[in-house]
Amino acid sequence: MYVPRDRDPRCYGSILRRVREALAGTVFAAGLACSHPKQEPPIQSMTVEITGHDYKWIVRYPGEDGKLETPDDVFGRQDLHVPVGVETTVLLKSRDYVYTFALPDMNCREIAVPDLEFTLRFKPDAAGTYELVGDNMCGSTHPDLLGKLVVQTAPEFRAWLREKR
Amino acid sequence: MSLSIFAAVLSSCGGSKPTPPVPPPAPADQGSGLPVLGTAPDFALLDQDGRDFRSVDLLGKVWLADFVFTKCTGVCVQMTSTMGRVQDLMAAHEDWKDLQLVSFSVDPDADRPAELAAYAKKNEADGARWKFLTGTRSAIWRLSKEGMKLPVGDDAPGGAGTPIFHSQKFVLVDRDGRIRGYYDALTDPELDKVVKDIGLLMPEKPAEKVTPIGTVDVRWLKPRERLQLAEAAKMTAFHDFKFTDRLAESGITFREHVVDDAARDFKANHYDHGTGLAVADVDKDSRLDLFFVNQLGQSELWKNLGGGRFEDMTAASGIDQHGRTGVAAAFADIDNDGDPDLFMTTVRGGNLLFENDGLGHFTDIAAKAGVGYVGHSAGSVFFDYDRDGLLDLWVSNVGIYTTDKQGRGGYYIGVEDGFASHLKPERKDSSILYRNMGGNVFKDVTLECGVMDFSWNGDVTPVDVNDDGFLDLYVMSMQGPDEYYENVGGKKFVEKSREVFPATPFGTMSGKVFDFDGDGDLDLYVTDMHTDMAPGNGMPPDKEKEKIPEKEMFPKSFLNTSAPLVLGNALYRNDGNGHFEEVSGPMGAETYWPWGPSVGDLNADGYDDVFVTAGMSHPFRYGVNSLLLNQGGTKFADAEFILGVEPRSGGRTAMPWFDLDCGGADKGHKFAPKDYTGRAVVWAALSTRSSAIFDIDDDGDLDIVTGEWNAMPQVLVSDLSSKKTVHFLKVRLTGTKSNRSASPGPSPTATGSAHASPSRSAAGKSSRPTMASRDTCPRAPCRCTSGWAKRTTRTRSKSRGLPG
Repeated sequence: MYVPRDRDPRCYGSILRRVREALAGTVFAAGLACSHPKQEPPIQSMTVEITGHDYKWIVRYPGEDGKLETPDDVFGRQDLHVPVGVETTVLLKSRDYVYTFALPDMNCREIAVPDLEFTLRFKPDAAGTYELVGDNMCGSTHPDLLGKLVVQTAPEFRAWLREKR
Repeated sequence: MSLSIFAAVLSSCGGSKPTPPVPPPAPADQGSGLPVLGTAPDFALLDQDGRDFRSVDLLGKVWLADFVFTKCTGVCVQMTSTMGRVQDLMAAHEDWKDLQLVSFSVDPDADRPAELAAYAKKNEADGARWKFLTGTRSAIWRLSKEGMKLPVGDDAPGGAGTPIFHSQKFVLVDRDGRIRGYYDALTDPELDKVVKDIGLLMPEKPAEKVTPIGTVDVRWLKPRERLQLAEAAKMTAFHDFKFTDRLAESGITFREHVVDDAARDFKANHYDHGTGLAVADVDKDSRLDLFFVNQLGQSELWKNLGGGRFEDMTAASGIDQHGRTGVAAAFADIDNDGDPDLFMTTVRGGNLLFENDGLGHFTDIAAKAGVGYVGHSAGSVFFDYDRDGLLDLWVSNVGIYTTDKQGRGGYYIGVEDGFASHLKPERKDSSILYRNMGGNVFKDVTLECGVMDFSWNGDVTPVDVNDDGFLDLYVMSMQGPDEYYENVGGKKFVEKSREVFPATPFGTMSGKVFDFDGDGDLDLYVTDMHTDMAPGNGMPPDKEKEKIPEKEMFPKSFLNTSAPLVLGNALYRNDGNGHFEEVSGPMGAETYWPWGPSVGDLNADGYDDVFVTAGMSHPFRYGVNSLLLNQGGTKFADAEFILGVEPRSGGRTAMPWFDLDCGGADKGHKFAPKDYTGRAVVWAALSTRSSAIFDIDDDGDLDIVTGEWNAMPQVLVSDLSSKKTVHFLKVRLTGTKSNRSASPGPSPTATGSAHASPSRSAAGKSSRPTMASRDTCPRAPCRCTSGWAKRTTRTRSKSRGLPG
């Protein structure tokens, strides 16, 4: 286990492993994307996968089954949406180059490396929109690597996810 | 057993598709706690002093790298300033004394060594501690993108419109060439992190270096060099010129990768015979391009840009081997449309035939053409056996040397006793003769032509031994006596092996047909590798020019033949009447651990010289590549040290071969040091498998490109044209009465040509004489003949090549 980055109350460092050693499916709190809002239980935790590819972030959210890498996964680009007060795990990957992924307000900063997977955890404690920072490259403004961390209430997050589906 | 039965057997066990190579698991780190993020790529570049600088030169050092360019007015200024701050810190850290700083230029066309030297001076760089490196754009961009995984390009994403965009990350690499950190070091916190991580890495010991059985002991090399240089004064042939390895300037970044049987297990199996290369002008720009065959991973086609520079055109060419295990290749114009097509052999992946559209775009037509045999193919040669104007094809099939179990990258794991396979009839396989029927369709005529050959055959050469205008076949067996088949009027072949060649080597890997003594007859030179295995650890360095002593030869039970044997290379001198006398000893043509010869008139004196690739890697010692300089047809003199072919650039003779996790996955491995539980790196000797002689830089003299075993090529550029006047001509062949490319090339039209000569492949037979370099014809008028393979330096009385 590799936990080299400075810890922060909101960002729990990172764990590194080979992509092919990583678990294929990650189980997280049930009911995240339940189709009946009134009966929805609170979100306990969430795992998303963020992959750098061609100077863009591709974000994969679990669908109704609560698992990643299943047919009902939901995909987004550039921005990361998470529910407030929920421990969020980011599986950080890259398909081509080494990218920096940083959430300055969460004190999260890590690199995405091809063939490797870093795991980051953070727990946003206030709704709002924050910076998501990607690479700086000489000669490029790489706008697609600049994004937003959007922290929403659980109902807002569920509604956004349903809309994305 | 018939060929068809064997074909069926191989098809049934070769059904599953190879999978793409996957990286081996990263061994555990050595205690710093920093993760292993990847492996720094191999590279060969030039430093600010114009010196050859390679990744291997950084082994044993911790190094910090970045990518900048001297005209950059943006972030490079800050990056170089940051690197300067690290350099300053080196003075304050006693334990950082062997830290190396490396700045790669991403504008290498503008940043030549002189510009880099000025930039280094301006930034107060210590030349020893801080290297600024340049090469070709394609080499550095591949290094950045594929090696370091850092983007670089002309068009910045997002349309920023800047000329060159590149990463501003710094990369930290450990003493074993493993990437241990990436940093955006322009901010103080990240620079602090760099400093902290350097501090963590510096005390980390490199992996234990394991050098089994003295494989890297080259103490004999220097005395050998001195001895040869002393002999130079006696040499009658012109030798006042040099070859220099200009890999960095060439831009070629191909690196052969080999299967684990060879890369980790050192199994004595036919995989360690390596791969070939082939040469042809694929895009009609009058420059010869290079095709390197890869054993594990994609083979690569490199476009000759002129001036000794090459550019990777693999992707644009459409050549895709689909993860198959490559062996050798041959270019030939199969449809007489004026462009070279490409045939490539594989191990149980199906052979490939790529048709060229004339512009260097290739389409695989193997299935339609009927040549996609699935087996253990090796060399191949195109020749027109029936003189119908279309090139026919011989494919050498070695024999079955694999199991059905697949290893990393999808290759078929080799049998444990591959070198005894000739004793096991169930493993034999026939080579194939295909007749070109026209319309890019070939027919297997092996049986009907009576040329079923079950020898352990890796290569073959056509030669018109009886001067009847039809090409006969000399079939080289790597585990048994060679065979000879006489072509009877283009209808059938009759075996006359011992009748014409009473004694041959036992372990022939390759050979060449050429007129070494200038008497107008084509002679034959074949190189015997396996016999050099007989004396246990190989021949001692001071005995290399001698044949193996009888008492040290393999036992009769292993040889399994009653045929008389030549215990080493054979040079057959043609007396002009179809009789061949073996003269390798008196002619000085014996060499150590040879794979295959390339032939060309390297000193432009009218006599063909020979370059013989050599060496094995573990468990044998380093072996020099031989350069046999022809002394006016009377003898060959060893000249590899005199002409700069040896020692290799930087004096390199060995390289890291593979890692061992001695306390974990590789616990108990035979190379793991006793009672050692850390990481170890096993080293092995460098060695060459294939070569091509041609003029890569359009200066009229002949250069040499090699195919290295598990490594990057050598690009040995000759300076002959600056030392003497060299006249040369280029010939573009037209007409289709005989095959258009006048293949094969038993000997160049004049004194030099494009010849690829893989160890055991027929790529040497693939190229054709598009260029000839020659002296000023002092003894006789130059004349070009319409026939093939007639020497034109002097008027010859006979020719035994193809009819015109």
